[in-house]
Amino acid sequence: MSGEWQPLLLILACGLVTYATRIGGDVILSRFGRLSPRVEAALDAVPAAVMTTLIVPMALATGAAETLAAILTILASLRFSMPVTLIVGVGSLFVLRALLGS
Amino acid sequence: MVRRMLAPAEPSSRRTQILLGLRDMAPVLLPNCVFGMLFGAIATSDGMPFGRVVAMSAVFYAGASQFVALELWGTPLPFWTIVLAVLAVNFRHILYSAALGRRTRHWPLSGRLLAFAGLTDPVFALSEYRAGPRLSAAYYVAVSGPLYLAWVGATGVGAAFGSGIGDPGRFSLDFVMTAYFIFLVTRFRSRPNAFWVIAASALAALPTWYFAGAPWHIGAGAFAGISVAVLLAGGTGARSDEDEAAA
Repeated sequence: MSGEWQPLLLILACGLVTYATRIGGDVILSRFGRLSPRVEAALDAVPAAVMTTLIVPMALATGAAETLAAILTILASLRFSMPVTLIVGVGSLFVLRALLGS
Repeated sequence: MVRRMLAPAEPSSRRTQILLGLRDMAPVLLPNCVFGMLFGAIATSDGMPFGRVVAMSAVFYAGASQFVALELWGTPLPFWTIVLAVLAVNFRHILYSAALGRRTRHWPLSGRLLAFAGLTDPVFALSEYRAGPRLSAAYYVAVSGPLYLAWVGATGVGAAFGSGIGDPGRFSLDFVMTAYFIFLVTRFRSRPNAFWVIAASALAALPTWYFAGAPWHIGAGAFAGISVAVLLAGGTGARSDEDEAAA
């Protein structure tokens, strides 16, 4: 019987662990009233600091086509809207992969 | 007269926020569905029953860590190994709720506890990008709701019929999320010391990715970027206190 319930328990445990990480930061910080400027600066840096790490493996550690496409995507993102940036990024990678044969 | 001026303001701004959220979220739907179907197809071909595959996406709802759990899944089940691996992959979310919590203090506690269950990478990045000091609940629901339903639905379709798409790299679909996050990171360039935060994060993440692999590069990059922000803010902290005193 325990064998049958174990997978479901595991899914539940994974769900709980994930949920704990998703509310954990708020639960901890909401106990403090006013945050110090240093903590505010740390929290303001979270989006750029974490999102950058999600880009790095594909942009810098996959291949020349991916790195070049990432650079073109950065340039496009400074000038254009999100849809145009995505088209430039994915389109340029598609072409670069074909050209560089990767 | 006063009533007429006040009453329509809220629903119309709510409508604007919902449309803005749907528009911002839309590009993620395609990769979201492709990877959801892929997860459903792989889990099913590993011999998992349909209900359990869909339950994983519905209860667990964390793409990358679901694939990690799937990879470690076996007989006998390495229960705690999987739980710890999931914790390591999802640890970054603690930073998300800490940062976004500041902008949702005006929400009821029950709403926050429910909404943060859907706090994935794109939901967090979009919320930080669009929110001022206060995050619109309508915007958050418009961004996070469809992504959750699409993920669970796509998992079911993939589990029942196979992924149908095969390799997401074939049409460079694997690059959509990268391009999407690049766009969002450059939106944050107006924040204090953004260039140095991004540079430090990338410089720490890249070697960690090479030598330790995922998910450790996320922790290393986040730590480096946030540390730089705190160090550089040290000098200007006194000035911002003065600004507040003056205001």
